[in-house]
Amino acid sequence: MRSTNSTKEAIKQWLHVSASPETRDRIWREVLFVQEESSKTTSALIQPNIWRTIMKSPLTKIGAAAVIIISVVFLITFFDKAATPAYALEQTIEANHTIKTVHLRMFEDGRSIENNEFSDYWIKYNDAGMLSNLRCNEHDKDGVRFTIWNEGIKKTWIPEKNVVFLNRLNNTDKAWEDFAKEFEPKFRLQWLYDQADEKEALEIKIDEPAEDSNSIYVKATHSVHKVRAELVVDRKTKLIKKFSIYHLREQEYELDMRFEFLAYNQPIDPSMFELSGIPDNAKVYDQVNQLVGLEKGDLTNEEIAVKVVREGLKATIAKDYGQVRKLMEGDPGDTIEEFIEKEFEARLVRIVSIGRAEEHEKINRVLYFVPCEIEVENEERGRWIVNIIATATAIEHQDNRWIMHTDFRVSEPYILSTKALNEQDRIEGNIIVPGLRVGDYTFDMSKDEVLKRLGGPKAINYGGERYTLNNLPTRYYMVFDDVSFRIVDDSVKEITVLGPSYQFTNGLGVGDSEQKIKQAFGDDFQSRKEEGKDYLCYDAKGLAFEIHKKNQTVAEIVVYQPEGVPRVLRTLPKYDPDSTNPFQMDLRCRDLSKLDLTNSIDDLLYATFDDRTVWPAPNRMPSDFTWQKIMELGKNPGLGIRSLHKKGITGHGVSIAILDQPLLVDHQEYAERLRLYEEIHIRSGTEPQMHGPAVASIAVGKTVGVAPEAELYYISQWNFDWEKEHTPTLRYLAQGIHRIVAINEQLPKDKKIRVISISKGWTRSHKEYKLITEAAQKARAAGMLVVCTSVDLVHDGCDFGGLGRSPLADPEVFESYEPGLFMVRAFSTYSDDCIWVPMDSRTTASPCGIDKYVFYRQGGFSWAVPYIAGVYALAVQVDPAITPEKFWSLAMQTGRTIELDYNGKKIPFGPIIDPVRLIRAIQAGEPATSNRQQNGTQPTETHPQTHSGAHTIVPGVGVGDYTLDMSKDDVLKKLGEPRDIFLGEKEYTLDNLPRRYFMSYGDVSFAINDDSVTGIGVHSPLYKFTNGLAVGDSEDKIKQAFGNDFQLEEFEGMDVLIYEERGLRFEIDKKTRTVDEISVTQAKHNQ
Amino acid sequence: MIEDELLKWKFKQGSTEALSCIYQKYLDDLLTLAVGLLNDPNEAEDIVQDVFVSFVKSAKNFMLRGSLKAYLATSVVNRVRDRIRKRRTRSLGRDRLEADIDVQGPDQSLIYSEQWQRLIRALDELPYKQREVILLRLKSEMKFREIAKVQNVSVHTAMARYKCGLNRLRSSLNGEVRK
Repeated sequence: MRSTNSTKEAIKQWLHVSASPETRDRIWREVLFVQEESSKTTSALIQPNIWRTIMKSPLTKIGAAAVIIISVVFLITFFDKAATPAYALEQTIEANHTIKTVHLRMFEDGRSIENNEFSDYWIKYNDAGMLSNLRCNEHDKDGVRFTIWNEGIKKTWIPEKNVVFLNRLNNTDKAWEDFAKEFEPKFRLQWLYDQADEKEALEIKIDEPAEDSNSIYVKATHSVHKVRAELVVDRKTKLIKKFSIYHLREQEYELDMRFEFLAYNQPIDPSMFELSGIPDNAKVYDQVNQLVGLEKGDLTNEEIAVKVVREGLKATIAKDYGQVRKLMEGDPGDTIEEFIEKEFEARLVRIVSIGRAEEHEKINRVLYFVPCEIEVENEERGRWIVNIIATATAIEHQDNRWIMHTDFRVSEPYILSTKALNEQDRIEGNIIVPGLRVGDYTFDMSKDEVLKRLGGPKAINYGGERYTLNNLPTRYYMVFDDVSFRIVDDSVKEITVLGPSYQFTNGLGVGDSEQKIKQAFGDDFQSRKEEGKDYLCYDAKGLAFEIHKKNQTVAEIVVYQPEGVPRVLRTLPKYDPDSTNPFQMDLRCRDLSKLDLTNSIDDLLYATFDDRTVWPAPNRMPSDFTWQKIMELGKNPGLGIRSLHKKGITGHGVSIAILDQPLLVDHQEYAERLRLYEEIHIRSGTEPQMHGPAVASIAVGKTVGVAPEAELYYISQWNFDWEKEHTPTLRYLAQGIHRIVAINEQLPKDKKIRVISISKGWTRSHKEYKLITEAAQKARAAGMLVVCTSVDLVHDGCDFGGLGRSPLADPEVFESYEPGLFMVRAFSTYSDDCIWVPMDSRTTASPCGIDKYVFYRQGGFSWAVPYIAGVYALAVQVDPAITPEKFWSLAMQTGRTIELDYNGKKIPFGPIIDPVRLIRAIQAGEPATSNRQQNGTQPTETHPQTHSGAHTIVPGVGVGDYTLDMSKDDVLKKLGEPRDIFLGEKEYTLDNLPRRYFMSYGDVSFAINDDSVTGIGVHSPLYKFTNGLAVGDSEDKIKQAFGNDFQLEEFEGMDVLIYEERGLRFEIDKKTRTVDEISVTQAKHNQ
Repeated sequence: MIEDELLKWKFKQGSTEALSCIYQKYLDDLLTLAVGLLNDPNEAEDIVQDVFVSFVKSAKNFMLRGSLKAYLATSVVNRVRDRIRKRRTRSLGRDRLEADIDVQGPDQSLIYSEQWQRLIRALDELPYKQREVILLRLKSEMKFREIAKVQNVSVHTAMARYKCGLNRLRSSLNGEVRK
């Protein structure tokens, strides 16, 4: 009988195929072809360069030490070509194979030896010869710095500064490769290899002096590249004792680096690879557990450099130190705040402008210098402008993320603009501050405040008309002696300096030459002509100069708020539930940093804001209001949409049309989805509006959208007649629909537009009702769902309501929803014949930048319409034959009804659209059983699992809608074909089922015995107990909640807690002691 | 190991010579693995060609600290699994057609050892995961730790599969009837 060993041998020896010569040649040709093609796009990687003596980064040093042994081995391999037979270098190569640990000392140059500055390394290798653990003690004039590296994590402690850094550094990642590039031997080896025949350039000497019986000396000198390497090899062990690299400078070879190998293969105490003694109060810069800096995305290096510096300065102004630390490198250098304090004895109050980033290489990493004009202040001098250079760079250990470097410097213009203000200037305050103020006049002043200070104006005019204080239009100019104000809606929008009494801090003002202005403010201006006047405009600074045509001097200086600079709010608006204004709590692009909002949670929870909103420091914010979390929750379309995306149901291949206001076409949310953009009746130069980006991103946004892979056809149109005093009209909307229908006719069959999203409605009494109805019906006849806020007028019986959600409530949970804010008052008038869809509390693309977002607390039907369009796209993807009417009917049938507290009573509320069940129903070819059908009009009162929600685990009963009394066929009907059917190692199909088996659907699985469900397993935190516990929670929490009356079964890698009485099992991961799986089974007393 | 390290590094620098060495060194091993897993020489050739083509395309970003052989073997395994997944979704008619092709016997593009048919038949009777672990261990010389990672199971499970698979193989090769 064959033994196991002989079986192994048989496989090893006899199980073998080899490619025939033809096959070998055919595959090789293909591979070679691909390599040649690839090489055309790959630049030469090998660039012999000078040996760098300075390795600033500790990472480099660690890397250098780690690679040294293998490098030396390579080096010797190549030197071998010229070696004398007296010394067999292969012995050293062989000897290096035996190295398990090494203790080495590194000196960086001659000076470090003189100053007794060195680094000790203890290195441990694994069986594969790869570095597994490392410790480094760096000794320099400032003391000792300790670094350990274990399994991809680097930890450094600097006792002198009492800081600890945690970095991730794998020896497979790019940072590791970077060090290898810097560390010359490997690359020099390639060069040696390439030039192996140039023996005349390479001189190798091996010396085995008889008088020194312990050592062999190897010296390799390359006369062209002026590099020398010296090795001292132990004669007995053939291991390297010393390794030095020299570079020729001024006729002499100077030491660049020396390694002394102090011990090989001596056991290293495991505690050496730990850092002990770190004080509790040490400052920890953690780049392992948190991302730092900003993601570069598609930005250029220059753009991300400017962005990261801007964000760093903004966070500093907001005193958001957590953000500052996140945006800055984890070195213990100065923060910008400390730098400004040190340089100017002042604090940063405002960014005036940020210039173009310029690339500068500094030693071994590329840095970008970003010139910044900032305003600083102190009690003594008030406010003034200074110029500094900030620095940005890509972070080493986190791919594609950039940080603000700790290297700041004062830049040249500083000398000009920070000249001390004379006493008179300070008292009179006649300073022009670009983008901010003229003297004491600022943009947050009202018309009345201006009048109070300056008395009656010399003139009031606008567009050639003159006005009086009794007869003011909405917009006008108030002109005084040497200053005038542009007023809009009673607020100052621009301040114009008309005479020389106001000056910049650099002394420039009205009457100075155009040339001086350009010298001082740079060439980044636009020339504009307005009303016959010539202007030099520095829009980023909020500054324009009118230039006299004749003598080229400054006639006027206009100061205005630069685009995108948050406007300072001095008080927070109060939320009024009776107000119908959706923007009563509009905090978009507002600077709240001066406010104390600690007690404003009730108002803030109704705020609309964006990522330009400047928030107060955390200690002046309510602890339970996290705007970042609100923003993130708002991005989630909710109700299981993302789970559909994970299954590939993304609207892929389905075309959606949107008719709305002008779009910011390049926004990252939908730019890749946009197939067509046209404008109808839009004035040229019209900026993108807030409405378009919002609806487009809700429908097809890649992170916020319902159908992120649908194709987008967008027509922007304005529903007003300019010619008829801005009267509303549906004419252009109708034109847009006709245009979509015409485009659709040109599209191939499989690319037809299936849904038009119009966030607008009309009534039968509208004077253009016939016009718009004709257009809509034409689209409908072309097979499109025309979803608009009056969808029932296009598709009979189709209607919807809009859902609200408290901003911090989980959008995935049905119970988080309620009638939308603007519907609350009229809620009782809504029938249950409409499907309810998310509307409020959505984060969408912003019109203010391609990577900007807005959180809209109140949506209006406008946000519900693209949501429905998105869900329809998902439906079309799974069933291209679906019709709008069938879709709507299934949505109503599969929707969920929840319990709502209304006027002190609990009432059923719904149906809320349930995209997951809807899609399942469509896939199954028939509707899934809705809870309406199950339970009549009061579904929440009859069935335990619906009582507690769609994703609730009910011990002994079931999980969500799945119960232990279901049959295998019920499960298949509800969920379709399972992902896997198995028992133990064996897999089955539906045609080949044993008596007992498991059917897995990803989040849930079912134990089936004789066609009945006997257990339901939950594998994801989507399903929770009513107390909130779920997969991923700790074992301790489970025991606290369910007590200690359980049986314990131990398996490989896991423990199982069995609560028989309750009908529950928890699989606990032995390593993490967290719940891996929850199983609901028959409770013992029920059995 | 040094040789592979050098080959990896030179390959990354764009050396055709290094690529050729890697190709010559591992082509047959990878083919053996692929045929062993799939019992389909045509698909195995496709897979191995895919593996080398991807390998070449990855040169620019290639970073590998571990064994080159294990890396290539894992690439083969991943592609084999993809194929098997696709096979499952094919129609019955197609499966039957392929079965017909299979019975025609191995094509002439590969050269087989004498014992091949017997061994491959025995291997084919094993559950796929056991077959995979046996081939990765015995033909690709991967460590159980590495195999466990590939199969996303614990080392113990990988070892158990190996042991169980070997026992079954032995029984099969000895002509015993499995109960």
